[in-house]
Amino acid sequence: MGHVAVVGVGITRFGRRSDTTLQELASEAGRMALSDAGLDPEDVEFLAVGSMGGWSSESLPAVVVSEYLGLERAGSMRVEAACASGSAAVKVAADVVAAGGADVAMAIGVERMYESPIPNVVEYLGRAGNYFWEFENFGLTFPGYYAMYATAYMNKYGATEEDLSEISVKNHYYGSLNPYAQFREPVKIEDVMRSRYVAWPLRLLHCSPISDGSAAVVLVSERVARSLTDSPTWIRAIGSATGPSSITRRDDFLGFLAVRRAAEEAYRRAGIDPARPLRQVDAALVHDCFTIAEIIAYEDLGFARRGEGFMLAKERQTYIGGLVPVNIDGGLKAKGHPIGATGVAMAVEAVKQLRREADPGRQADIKNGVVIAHNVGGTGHYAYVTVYSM
Amino acid sequence: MPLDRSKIEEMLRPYLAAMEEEKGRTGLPLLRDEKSGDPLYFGQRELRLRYLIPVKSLKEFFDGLARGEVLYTRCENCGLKYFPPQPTCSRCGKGTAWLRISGEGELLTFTKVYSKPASFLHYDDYIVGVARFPEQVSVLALIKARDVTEIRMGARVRLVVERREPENYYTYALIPVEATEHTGQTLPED
Repeated sequence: MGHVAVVGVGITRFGRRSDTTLQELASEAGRMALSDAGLDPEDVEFLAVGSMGGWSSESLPAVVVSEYLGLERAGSMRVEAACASGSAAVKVAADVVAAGGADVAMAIGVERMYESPIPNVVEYLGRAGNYFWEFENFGLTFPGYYAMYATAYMNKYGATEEDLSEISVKNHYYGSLNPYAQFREPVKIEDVMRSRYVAWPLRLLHCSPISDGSAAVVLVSERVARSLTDSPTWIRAIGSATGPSSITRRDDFLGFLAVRRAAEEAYRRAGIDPARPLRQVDAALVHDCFTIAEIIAYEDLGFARRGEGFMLAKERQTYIGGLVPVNIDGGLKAKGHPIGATGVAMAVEAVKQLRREADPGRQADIKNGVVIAHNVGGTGHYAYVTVYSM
Repeated sequence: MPLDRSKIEEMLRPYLAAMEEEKGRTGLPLLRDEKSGDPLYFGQRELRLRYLIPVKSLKEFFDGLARGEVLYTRCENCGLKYFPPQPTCSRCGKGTAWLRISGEGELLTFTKVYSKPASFLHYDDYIVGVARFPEQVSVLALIKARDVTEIRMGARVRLVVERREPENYYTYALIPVEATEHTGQTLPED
Protein backbone atom coordinates (compact mmCIF):
# COMPACT_ATOMS: atom_id res chain seq x y z
CA MET A 1 0.00 0.00 0.00
CA GLY A 2 1.34 3.44 -0.94
CA HIS A 3 1.63 6.51 1.23
CA VAL A 4 -1.14 9.13 1.00
CA ALA A 5 -0.53 12.87 1.33
CA VAL A 6 -2.92 15.74 1.96
CA VAL A 7 -1.89 18.51 -0.44
CA GLY A 8 -4.94 20.75 -0.37
CA VAL A 9 -7.45 21.84 2.26
CA GLY A 10 -10.56 24.01 2.15
CA ILE A 11 -13.34 24.94 4.54
CA THR A 12 -16.41 27.18 4.57
CA ARG A 13 -17.74 29.31 7.39
CA PHE A 14 -19.96 27.07 9.55
CA GLY A 15 -23.35 28.20 10.81
CA ARG A 16 -26.74 28.98 9.33
CA ARG A 17 -25.88 29.12 5.62
CA SER A 18 -29.24 30.08 4.12
CA ASP A 19 -27.25 31.78 1.34
CA THR A 20 -26.09 28.55 -0.34
CA THR A 21 -27.30 25.21 -1.63
CA LEU A 22 -25.53 22.02 -0.58
CA GLN A 23 -23.56 21.82 -3.82
CA GLU A 24 -22.59 25.51 -3.72
CA LEU A 25 -21.38 25.09 -0.15
CA ALA A 26 -19.36 21.96 -0.96
CA SER A 27 -17.86 23.60 -4.03
CA GLU A 28 -16.78 26.60 -1.96
CA ALA A 29 -14.66 24.24 0.19
CA GLY A 30 -13.71 22.07 -2.79
CA ARG A 31 -12.39 24.94 -4.94
CA MET A 32 -10.38 26.25 -2.00
CA ALA A 33 -8.81 22.81 -1.50
CA LEU A 34 -7.98 22.37 -5.21
CA SER A 35 -6.48 25.83 -5.42
CA ASP A 36 -4.45 25.14 -2.26
CA ALA A 37 -3.14 21.96 -3.92
CA GLY A 38 -2.41 23.67 -7.23
CA LEU A 39 -4.65 21.17 -9.05
CA ASP A 40 -7.63 21.51 -11.40
CA PRO A 41 -11.02 19.79 -11.13
CA GLU A 42 -10.20 17.54 -14.09
CA ASP A 43 -7.20 16.14 -12.17
CA VAL A 44 -9.52 14.51 -9.62
CA GLU A 45 -10.11 10.80 -10.24
CA PHE A 46 -12.30 9.90 -7.26
CA LEU A 47 -14.61 11.75 -4.87
CA ALA A 48 -15.98 10.52 -1.52
CA VAL A 49 -18.67 12.76 -0.03
CA GLY A 50 -19.28 12.48 3.70
CA SER A 51 -22.91 13.46 4.28
CA MET A 52 -25.73 12.12 6.39
CA GLY A 53 -28.61 14.01 4.82
CA GLY A 54 -32.30 13.35 5.36
CA TRP A 55 -32.83 16.94 6.50
CA SER A 56 -31.78 18.40 3.14
CA SER A 57 -33.40 18.14 -0.25
CA GLU A 58 -30.82 16.52 -2.53
CA SER A 59 -30.70 12.75 -1.96
CA LEU A 60 -27.59 12.18 -4.08
CA PRO A 61 -25.10 14.73 -2.70
CA ALA A 62 -22.04 13.21 -4.38
CA VAL A 63 -23.64 13.69 -7.80
CA VAL A 64 -24.59 17.37 -7.41
CA VAL A 65 -21.27 18.20 -5.70
CA SER A 66 -19.22 16.43 -8.37
CA GLU A 67 -21.09 18.20 -11.17
CA TYR A 68 -21.05 21.67 -9.61
CA LEU A 69 -17.36 21.43 -8.74
CA GLY A 70 -16.65 20.34 -12.32
CA LEU A 71 -15.10 16.95 -11.50
CA GLU A 72 -15.80 15.59 -14.95
CA ARG A 73 -13.88 12.32 -14.75
CA ALA A 74 -14.20 11.38 -11.08
CA GLY A 75 -16.11 8.35 -9.84
CA SER A 76 -18.03 9.25 -6.70
CA MET A 77 -20.07 8.03 -3.78
CA ARG A 78 -21.71 9.24 -0.58
CA VAL A 79 -20.21 7.82 2.63
CA GLU A 80 -22.31 7.52 5.79
CA ALA A 81 -20.92 6.93 9.28
CA ALA A 82 -23.30 9.35 11.07
CA CYS A 83 -21.25 12.12 12.72
CA ALA A 84 -18.06 10.35 11.59
CA SER A 85 -19.07 10.39 7.91
CA GLY A 86 -16.31 12.93 7.21
CA SER A 87 -13.54 10.73 8.58
CA ALA A 88 -15.07 7.75 6.80
CA ALA A 89 -14.94 9.72 3.53
CA VAL A 90 -11.28 10.56 4.20
CA LYS A 91 -10.60 6.85 4.80
CA VAL A 92 -12.36 5.77 1.62
CA ALA A 93 -10.56 8.37 -0.52
CA ALA A 94 -7.19 7.61 1.16
CA ASP A 95 -7.65 3.86 0.68
CA VAL A 96 -8.48 4.36 -3.01
CA VAL A 97 -5.19 6.30 -3.42
CA ALA A 98 -3.18 3.86 -1.27
CA ALA A 99 -4.45 0.91 -3.30
CA GLY A 100 -3.41 2.60 -6.56
CA GLY A 101 -7.00 3.19 -7.70
CA ALA A 102 -6.32 6.91 -8.17
CA ASP A 103 -3.42 9.34 -7.94
CA VAL A 104 -5.67 12.25 -6.99
CA ALA A 105 -8.82 11.86 -4.88
CA MET A 106 -10.97 14.21 -2.82
CA ALA A 107 -12.94 13.82 0.37
CA ILE A 108 -15.60 16.47 0.86
CA GLY A 109 -17.88 16.64 3.89
CA VAL A 110 -21.05 18.69 3.60
CA GLU A 111 -24.34 19.19 5.42
CA ARG A 112 -27.30 21.57 5.04
CA MET A 113 -29.18 20.91 8.29
CA TYR A 114 -31.17 24.15 8.27
CA GLU A 115 -33.24 22.95 5.29
CA SER A 116 -35.59 21.32 7.84
CA PRO A 117 -37.42 22.57 10.95
CA ILE A 118 -35.40 21.99 14.14
CA PRO A 119 -37.71 19.31 15.66
CA ASN A 120 -37.25 17.29 12.45
CA VAL A 121 -33.46 17.62 12.75
CA VAL A 122 -33.71 16.55 16.41
CA GLU A 123 -35.74 13.57 15.20
CA TYR A 124 -33.24 12.52 12.49
CA LEU A 125 -30.36 12.75 14.98
CA GLY A 126 -32.32 10.82 17.63
CA ARG A 127 -33.04 8.06 15.13
CA ALA A 128 -29.26 7.75 14.59
CA GLY A 129 -28.95 5.15 17.32
CA ASN A 130 -31.12 2.07 17.45
CA TYR A 131 -34.40 2.94 15.76
CA PHE A 132 -36.81 0.23 16.85
CA TRP A 133 -35.78 -0.43 20.46
CA GLU A 134 -34.73 3.07 21.46
CA PHE A 135 -36.37 5.70 19.26
CA GLU A 136 -39.74 4.30 18.17
CA ASN A 137 -41.06 3.72 21.68
CA PHE A 138 -38.92 5.91 23.89
CA GLY A 139 -38.07 9.00 21.82
CA LEU A 140 -34.41 9.06 22.73
CA THR A 141 -32.49 12.03 21.29
CA PHE A 142 -28.83 12.50 20.41
CA PRO A 143 -28.24 14.76 23.47
CA GLY A 144 -30.26 12.20 25.47
CA TYR A 145 -27.84 9.41 24.57
CA TYR A 146 -24.79 11.41 25.64
CA ALA A 147 -26.67 12.70 28.70
CA MET A 148 -26.95 9.10 29.90
CA TYR A 149 -23.16 8.81 29.59
CA ALA A 150 -22.83 12.09 31.51
CA THR A 151 -25.14 10.88 34.31
CA ALA A 152 -23.16 7.66 34.71
CA TYR A 153 -19.76 9.38 34.46
CA MET A 154 -20.59 12.16 36.92
CA ASN A 155 -22.06 9.67 39.39
CA LYS A 156 -19.08 7.32 39.21
CA TYR A 157 -16.22 9.83 39.27
CA GLY A 158 -17.73 12.87 40.99
CA ALA A 159 -17.49 15.25 38.03
CA THR A 160 -19.93 18.16 38.13
CA GLU A 161 -21.90 20.16 35.57
CA GLU A 162 -19.40 22.98 36.15
CA ASP A 163 -16.53 20.63 35.23
CA LEU A 164 -18.28 19.81 31.95
CA SER A 165 -18.78 23.54 31.39
CA GLU A 166 -14.98 24.05 31.35
CA ILE A 167 -15.00 22.35 27.94
CA SER A 168 -17.57 24.86 26.60
CA VAL A 169 -15.51 27.77 27.94
CA LYS A 170 -12.29 26.49 26.32
CA ASN A 171 -13.87 25.64 22.97
CA HIS A 172 -15.78 28.92 22.73
CA TYR A 173 -12.53 30.75 23.54
CA TYR A 174 -10.74 29.10 20.61
CA GLY A 175 -13.86 29.46 18.43
CA SER A 176 -13.63 33.22 19.02
CA LEU A 177 -10.21 33.10 17.30
CA ASN A 178 -11.42 31.05 14.32
CA PRO A 179 -13.04 33.07 11.49
CA TYR A 180 -14.79 29.93 10.17
CA ALA A 181 -16.48 29.13 13.52
CA GLN A 182 -20.23 29.31 14.06
CA PHE A 183 -19.82 30.88 17.52
CA ARG A 184 -17.30 33.69 17.86
CA GLU A 185 -18.34 34.80 21.36
CA PRO A 186 -16.48 33.54 24.43
CA VAL A 187 -18.70 32.18 27.25
CA LYS A 188 -18.21 31.95 31.02
CA ILE A 189 -19.03 29.02 33.30
CA GLU A 190 -22.02 31.02 34.61
CA ASP A 191 -23.37 31.46 31.05
CA VAL A 192 -23.22 27.71 30.52
CA MET A 193 -24.85 26.99 33.89
CA ARG A 194 -27.64 29.48 33.17
CA SER A 195 -28.55 27.88 29.83
CA ARG A 196 -31.61 25.58 29.79
CA TYR A 197 -31.46 21.79 29.97
CA VAL A 198 -31.65 20.06 26.59
CA ALA A 199 -31.33 16.56 28.08
CA TRP A 200 -30.56 16.50 31.80
CA PRO A 201 -27.77 16.88 32.94
CA LEU A 202 -26.66 18.47 29.64
CA ARG A 203 -27.54 22.13 29.09
CA LEU A 204 -27.81 24.01 25.79
CA LEU A 205 -24.24 25.33 26.08
CA HIS A 206 -22.96 21.78 26.68
CA CYS A 207 -24.18 20.89 23.18
CA SER A 208 -22.78 21.47 19.70
CA PRO A 209 -25.20 23.41 17.49
CA ILE A 210 -27.15 22.51 14.36
CA SER A 211 -24.91 23.67 11.52
CA ASP A 212 -24.49 24.03 7.79
CA GLY A 213 -20.98 23.81 6.41
CA SER A 214 -18.46 22.01 4.29
CA ALA A 215 -14.80 21.02 4.34
CA ALA A 216 -12.64 19.44 1.65
CA VAL A 217 -9.24 17.77 1.30
CA VAL A 218 -7.23 16.72 -1.75
CA LEU A 219 -5.45 13.39 -1.22
CA VAL A 220 -2.67 12.25 -3.56
CA SER A 221 -0.16 9.46 -4.04
CA GLU A 222 3.43 9.97 -2.90
CA ARG A 223 4.57 10.44 -6.50
CA VAL A 224 2.10 13.27 -7.14
CA ALA A 225 2.76 14.79 -3.71
CA ARG A 226 6.49 15.06 -4.42
CA SER A 227 5.74 16.79 -7.72
CA LEU A 228 3.50 19.38 -6.04
CA THR A 229 5.25 20.30 -2.80
CA ASP A 230 8.34 19.85 -0.67
CA SER A 231 6.34 19.61 2.52
CA PRO A 232 3.16 17.56 2.20
CA THR A 233 1.15 16.43 5.20
CA TRP A 234 0.74 12.67 5.47
CA ILE A 235 -2.10 10.46 6.59
CA ARG A 236 0.08 8.27 8.74
CA ALA A 237 -2.57 5.91 10.07
CA ILE A 238 -6.31 5.39 10.37
CA GLY A 239 -8.00 3.20 12.97
CA SER A 240 -11.70 2.39 12.81
CA ALA A 241 -14.17 0.29 14.77
CA THR A 242 -17.92 -0.18 15.26
CA GLY A 243 -19.89 -0.37 18.52
CA PRO A 244 -23.22 -2.15 19.20
CA SER A 245 -26.38 -0.45 17.92
CA SER A 246 -28.35 -0.65 21.17
CA ILE A 247 -26.67 1.08 24.08
CA THR A 248 -28.10 -1.61 26.35
CA ARG A 249 -25.40 -3.86 24.93
CA ARG A 250 -22.58 -1.63 26.19
CA ASP A 251 -20.54 -2.81 29.20
CA ASP A 252 -20.76 0.60 30.84
CA PHE A 253 -21.60 4.24 30.10
CA LEU A 254 -18.19 5.64 31.00
CA GLY A 255 -16.29 5.26 27.73
CA PHE A 256 -16.55 3.84 24.24
CA LEU A 257 -14.99 0.46 23.51
CA ALA A 258 -15.16 1.12 19.74
CA VAL A 259 -13.13 4.32 20.18
CA ARG A 260 -10.50 2.56 22.30
CA ARG A 261 -10.20 -0.11 19.59
CA ALA A 262 -9.91 2.52 16.83
CA ALA A 263 -7.25 4.39 18.83
CA GLU A 264 -5.34 1.16 19.47
CA GLU A 265 -5.28 0.41 15.74
CA ALA A 266 -4.28 3.97 14.77
CA TYR A 267 -1.51 4.11 17.40
CA ARG A 268 -0.17 0.70 16.38
CA ARG A 269 -0.09 1.60 12.68
CA ALA A 270 1.50 5.00 13.43
CA GLY A 271 4.06 3.62 15.88
CA ILE A 272 2.67 5.69 18.75
CA ASP A 273 3.07 4.23 22.24
CA PRO A 274 -0.53 3.66 23.44
CA ALA A 275 0.65 3.95 27.06
CA ARG A 276 2.17 7.41 26.46
CA PRO A 277 0.61 8.90 23.30
CA LEU A 278 1.30 12.47 24.43
CA ARG A 279 5.04 11.92 24.01
CA GLN A 280 4.37 12.01 20.27
CA VAL A 281 1.15 13.99 19.80
CA ASP A 282 1.34 17.79 19.45
CA ALA A 283 -2.40 18.49 19.38
CA ALA A 284 -5.71 16.66 19.10
CA LEU A 285 -9.07 17.36 17.48
CA VAL A 286 -11.69 15.36 19.34
CA HIS A 287 -15.39 14.79 18.86
CA ASP A 288 -16.98 17.18 21.39
CA CYS A 289 -20.56 16.96 20.12
CA PHE A 290 -21.33 17.32 23.84
CA THR A 291 -18.91 18.39 26.55
CA ILE A 292 -19.00 14.94 28.20
CA ALA A 293 -17.81 13.48 24.88
CA GLU A 294 -14.57 15.50 24.99
CA ILE A 295 -13.87 14.35 28.56
CA ILE A 296 -14.49 10.72 27.62
CA ALA A 297 -12.27 11.24 24.54
CA TYR A 298 -9.32 12.21 26.78
CA GLU A 299 -9.65 8.82 28.47
CA ASP A 300 -10.40 6.70 25.39
CA LEU A 301 -7.35 8.21 23.62
CA GLY A 302 -5.11 7.55 26.61
CA PHE A 303 -4.48 11.23 27.47
CA ALA A 304 -5.86 10.61 30.97
CA ARG A 305 -6.55 7.51 33.06
CA ARG A 306 -10.14 6.25 33.32
CA GLY A 307 -12.09 8.59 35.59
CA GLU A 308 -9.52 11.38 35.40
CA GLY A 309 -10.45 13.02 32.10
CA PHE A 310 -12.56 15.68 33.78
CA MET A 311 -9.52 16.70 35.86
CA LEU A 312 -7.74 17.73 32.63
CA ALA A 313 -10.68 20.05 31.92
CA LYS A 314 -10.80 21.32 35.49
CA GLU A 315 -7.07 22.05 35.53
CA ARG A 316 -7.26 23.60 32.04
CA GLN A 317 -4.59 21.22 30.74
CA THR A 318 -6.01 21.11 27.22
CA TYR A 319 -5.37 24.75 26.30
CA ILE A 320 -2.24 25.65 24.29
CA GLY A 321 0.65 25.47 26.75
CA GLY A 322 -1.01 22.72 28.80
CA LEU A 323 -0.49 18.95 28.69
CA VAL A 324 -1.98 18.74 25.19
CA PRO A 325 -3.98 21.33 23.21
CA VAL A 326 -7.39 19.94 22.26
CA ASN A 327 -9.94 21.46 19.87
CA ILE A 328 -8.06 24.70 19.44
CA ASP A 329 -10.25 25.43 16.40
CA GLY A 330 -13.31 25.68 18.68
CA GLY A 331 -14.25 22.02 18.36
CA LEU A 332 -17.72 20.91 17.34
CA LYS A 333 -19.03 22.91 20.29
CA ALA A 334 -18.10 26.37 18.97
CA LYS A 335 -16.88 25.82 15.42
CA GLY A 336 -20.13 24.00 14.64
CA HIS A 337 -21.08 20.43 13.73
CA PRO A 338 -22.39 20.03 10.17
CA ILE A 339 -22.56 16.24 10.66
CA GLY A 340 -20.84 14.93 7.52
CA ALA A 341 -18.39 17.85 7.31
CA THR A 342 -16.95 17.44 10.81
CA GLY A 343 -14.38 14.70 10.15
CA VAL A 344 -13.10 16.46 7.02
CA ALA A 345 -12.93 19.76 8.96
CA MET A 346 -10.72 17.93 11.48
CA ALA A 347 -8.42 16.91 8.61
CA VAL A 348 -8.31 20.52 7.40
CA GLU A 349 -7.44 21.79 10.88
CA ALA A 350 -4.80 19.07 11.44
CA VAL A 351 -3.08 20.14 8.21
CA LYS A 352 -3.25 23.85 9.12
CA GLN A 353 -1.73 23.11 12.53
CA LEU A 354 1.06 20.98 11.03
CA ARG A 355 1.81 23.67 8.42
CA ARG A 356 1.78 26.27 11.24
CA GLU A 357 -0.94 28.17 9.37
CA ALA A 358 -3.49 28.42 12.20
CA ASP A 359 -4.92 31.82 13.10
CA PRO A 360 -3.07 34.00 15.62
CA GLY A 361 -3.58 32.78 19.18
CA ARG A 362 -4.56 29.25 18.28
CA GLN A 363 -1.41 27.72 16.77
CA ALA A 364 -0.13 24.70 18.71
CA ASP A 365 3.56 24.22 19.30
CA ILE A 366 4.46 21.61 16.66
CA LYS A 367 7.41 19.58 18.01
CA ASN A 368 6.82 16.03 16.84
CA GLY A 369 4.78 16.86 13.75
CA VAL A 370 1.79 14.74 14.79
CA VAL A 371 -1.86 15.79 15.17
CA ILE A 372 -4.63 13.28 15.76
CA ALA A 373 -8.31 13.46 14.87
CA HIS A 374 -10.94 11.54 16.89
CA ASN A 375 -14.32 11.38 15.14
CA VAL A 376 -17.24 9.46 16.63
CA GLY A 377 -20.48 8.67 14.80
CA GLY A 378 -23.70 8.27 16.76
CA THR A 379 -23.00 7.56 20.43
CA GLY A 380 -19.88 5.40 20.13
CA HIS A 381 -21.46 3.60 17.18
CA TYR A 382 -18.81 4.49 14.59
CA ALA A 383 -15.25 5.32 15.67
CA TYR A 384 -12.45 6.77 13.54
CA VAL A 385 -9.04 7.86 14.81
CA THR A 386 -6.77 9.40 12.17
CA VAL A 387 -3.10 10.30 12.64
CA TYR A 388 -1.83 13.19 10.49
CA SER A 389 1.92 13.88 10.36
CA MET A 390 4.50 16.07 8.67
CA MET B 1 -56.43 8.21 19.09
CA PRO B 2 -54.15 8.77 16.11
CA LEU B 3 -50.75 10.42 16.44
CA ASP B 4 -51.34 14.02 17.45
CA ARG B 5 -49.57 16.25 14.96
CA SER B 6 -51.23 19.43 16.18
CA LYS B 7 -48.04 20.85 17.72
CA ILE B 8 -46.12 20.39 14.49
CA GLU B 9 -48.96 21.91 12.49
CA GLU B 10 -49.14 24.78 14.96
CA MET B 11 -45.39 25.39 14.58
CA LEU B 12 -45.64 25.37 10.79
CA ARG B 13 -48.85 27.43 10.53
CA PRO B 14 -47.22 30.90 10.34
CA TYR B 15 -44.83 29.68 7.63
CA LEU B 16 -47.62 28.05 5.66
CA ALA B 17 -49.76 31.18 5.96
CA ALA B 18 -46.89 33.42 4.86
CA MET B 19 -46.20 31.10 1.94
CA GLU B 20 -49.85 31.09 0.81
CA GLU B 21 -49.94 34.88 1.01
CA GLU B 22 -46.74 35.16 -1.03
CA LYS B 23 -48.03 32.70 -3.63
CA GLY B 24 -51.26 34.71 -3.91
CA ARG B 25 -49.29 37.91 -4.40
CA THR B 26 -46.43 36.81 -6.68
CA GLY B 27 -47.27 33.27 -7.71
CA LEU B 28 -44.00 32.00 -6.17
CA PRO B 29 -43.49 30.09 -2.87
CA LEU B 30 -40.54 32.23 -1.76
CA LEU B 31 -39.93 33.08 1.88
CA ARG B 32 -37.24 35.09 3.67
CA ASP B 33 -34.90 33.29 6.09
CA GLU B 34 -35.90 34.53 9.54
CA LYS B 35 -32.29 35.37 10.49
CA SER B 36 -30.49 36.42 7.30
CA GLY B 37 -33.37 37.49 5.07
CA ASP B 38 -32.04 35.24 2.28
CA PRO B 39 -34.74 33.98 -0.11
CA LEU B 40 -35.79 30.36 0.48
CA TYR B 41 -37.99 28.24 -1.79
CA PHE B 42 -40.68 26.65 0.36
CA GLY B 43 -40.91 23.07 -0.94
CA GLN B 44 -44.45 22.22 -2.08
CA ARG B 45 -44.00 18.48 -1.52
CA GLU B 46 -44.34 17.04 1.97
CA LEU B 47 -43.16 13.52 2.79
CA ARG B 48 -44.72 11.73 5.75
CA LEU B 49 -42.62 8.75 6.81
CA ARG B 50 -44.03 5.76 8.64
CA TYR B 51 -42.16 2.49 8.39
CA LEU B 52 -43.50 -1.05 7.95
CA ILE B 53 -41.00 -3.05 10.00
CA PRO B 54 -40.79 -6.85 9.69
CA VAL B 55 -41.30 -8.57 13.06
CA LYS B 56 -41.96 -12.15 11.97
CA SER B 57 -38.94 -13.33 13.95
CA LEU B 58 -40.13 -11.37 17.01
CA LYS B 59 -43.67 -12.80 17.18
CA GLU B 60 -43.01 -14.31 20.62
CA PHE B 61 -41.96 -10.91 21.92
CA PHE B 62 -45.29 -9.33 20.96
CA ASP B 63 -47.25 -12.37 22.21
CA GLY B 64 -45.37 -11.81 25.50
CA LEU B 65 -46.29 -8.12 25.59
CA ALA B 66 -49.96 -9.02 25.13
CA ARG B 67 -49.64 -11.32 28.21
CA GLY B 68 -47.94 -8.54 30.18
CA GLU B 69 -44.45 -10.04 29.88
CA VAL B 70 -41.18 -8.69 28.47
CA LEU B 71 -39.05 -11.41 26.87
CA TYR B 72 -35.38 -11.74 26.01
CA THR B 73 -33.62 -14.50 24.08
CA ARG B 74 -30.77 -16.87 25.00
CA CYS B 75 -28.64 -18.86 22.57
CA GLU B 76 -29.48 -22.55 22.88
CA ASN B 77 -25.90 -23.41 21.99
CA CYS B 78 -23.57 -20.92 23.72
CA GLY B 79 -25.93 -19.32 26.25
CA LEU B 80 -25.33 -15.70 25.15
CA LYS B 81 -28.30 -13.51 26.13
CA TYR B 82 -29.97 -10.89 23.97
CA PHE B 83 -32.03 -7.81 24.71
CA PRO B 84 -33.13 -6.42 22.31
CA PRO B 85 -34.11 -10.03 21.57
CA GLN B 86 -32.98 -11.70 18.36
CA PRO B 87 -33.85 -15.10 16.87
CA THR B 88 -30.28 -16.05 15.92
CA CYS B 89 -27.09 -15.83 17.97
CA SER B 90 -24.62 -13.32 16.48
CA ARG B 91 -21.69 -15.25 17.98
CA CYS B 92 -22.42 -18.83 16.88
CA GLY B 93 -25.27 -18.48 14.40
CA LYS B 94 -27.51 -20.94 16.29
CA GLY B 95 -31.14 -20.42 17.31
CA THR B 96 -32.22 -18.76 20.54
CA ALA B 97 -34.93 -19.52 23.13
CA TRP B 98 -37.45 -17.00 24.52
CA LEU B 99 -37.37 -16.28 28.27
CA ARG B 100 -39.07 -13.79 30.57
CA ILE B 101 -37.39 -10.83 32.26
CA SER B 102 -38.71 -10.77 35.81
CA GLY B 103 -37.80 -9.39 39.18
CA GLU B 104 -36.19 -6.12 40.06
CA GLY B 105 -33.56 -4.36 38.02
CA GLU B 106 -30.93 -1.81 38.95
CA LEU B 107 -30.93 1.60 37.28
CA LEU B 108 -27.60 2.07 35.44
CA THR B 109 -28.20 5.55 34.05
CA PHE B 110 -30.93 7.98 33.02
CA THR B 111 -31.73 11.34 31.43
CA LYS B 112 -34.69 13.66 31.01
CA VAL B 113 -35.43 14.72 27.46
CA TYR B 114 -36.45 18.38 27.19
CA SER B 115 -35.70 19.11 23.49
CA LYS B 116 -37.98 16.56 21.87
CA PRO B 117 -38.10 15.07 18.37
CA ALA B 118 -40.95 16.13 16.07
CA SER B 119 -42.88 12.89 16.59
CA PHE B 120 -42.69 13.23 20.40
CA LEU B 121 -43.65 16.91 20.63
CA HIS B 122 -47.08 15.92 22.01
CA TYR B 123 -45.42 14.28 25.06
CA ASP B 124 -44.51 16.09 28.27
CA ASP B 125 -40.73 16.12 28.92
CA TYR B 126 -39.88 12.48 29.64
CA ILE B 127 -37.30 10.45 31.55
CA VAL B 128 -35.45 7.61 29.81
CA GLY B 129 -33.06 5.19 31.47
CA VAL B 130 -31.29 1.85 31.27
CA ALA B 131 -31.69 -0.88 33.91
CA ARG B 132 -29.83 -4.16 34.41
CA PHE B 133 -31.93 -7.20 35.39
CA PRO B 134 -30.98 -10.38 37.30
CA GLU B 135 -31.20 -12.31 33.99
CA GLN B 136 -28.08 -10.30 32.98
CA VAL B 137 -29.78 -8.28 30.28
CA SER B 138 -30.21 -4.49 30.19
CA VAL B 139 -33.35 -2.72 29.06
CA LEU B 140 -33.83 0.88 27.94
CA ALA B 141 -37.29 2.40 28.51
CA LEU B 142 -39.22 5.39 29.77
CA ILE B 143 -39.05 5.71 33.56
CA LYS B 144 -42.36 6.44 35.26
CA ALA B 145 -41.31 9.33 37.47
CA ARG B 146 -42.26 12.98 37.49
CA ASP B 147 -38.72 14.33 37.65
CA VAL B 148 -35.09 13.28 37.88
CA THR B 149 -35.05 14.39 41.53
CA GLU B 150 -37.37 11.47 42.35
CA ILE B 151 -34.90 8.84 41.16
CA ARG B 152 -31.28 7.98 41.77
CA MET B 153 -28.53 5.89 40.23
CA GLY B 154 -28.69 2.27 41.33
CA ALA B 155 -32.39 2.53 42.23
CA ARG B 156 -34.44 -0.68 42.13
CA VAL B 157 -36.87 -0.70 39.20
CA ARG B 158 -39.54 -3.04 37.91
CA LEU B 159 -40.23 -3.68 34.23
CA VAL B 160 -43.93 -3.41 33.46
CA VAL B 161 -46.07 -3.68 30.35
CA GLU B 162 -48.45 -0.80 29.91
CA ARG B 163 -50.73 0.75 27.37
CA ARG B 164 -49.01 3.84 25.99
CA GLU B 165 -51.16 6.90 25.54
CA PRO B 166 -52.13 8.72 23.44
CA GLU B 167 -51.12 6.16 20.79
CA ASN B 168 -52.91 3.35 22.70
CA TYR B 169 -50.60 0.35 22.24
CA TYR B 170 -48.73 -2.04 24.55
CA THR B 171 -45.12 -1.30 25.33
CA TYR B 172 -42.97 -1.52 28.45
CA ALA B 173 -41.70 0.97 31.03
CA LEU B 174 -39.48 1.07 34.10
CA ILE B 175 -41.09 1.91 37.44
CA PRO B 176 -38.99 2.76 40.51
CA VAL B 177 -39.86 0.18 43.18
CA GLU B 178 -40.30 2.81 45.91
CA ALA B 179 -42.89 4.56 43.76
CA THR B 180 -44.74 1.44 42.58
CA GLU B 181 -47.45 1.66 45.25
CA HIS B 182 -48.33 5.20 44.22
CA THR B 183 -48.03 4.83 40.46
CA GLY B 184 -49.75 1.46 40.24
CA GLN B 185 -49.03 -1.12 37.61
CA THR B 186 -51.03 -1.08 34.45
CA LEU B 187 -51.37 -4.53 32.95
CA PRO B 188 -53.32 -5.54 29.89
CA GLU B 189 -56.93 -6.46 30.60
CA ASP B 190 -57.63 -10.19 30.43
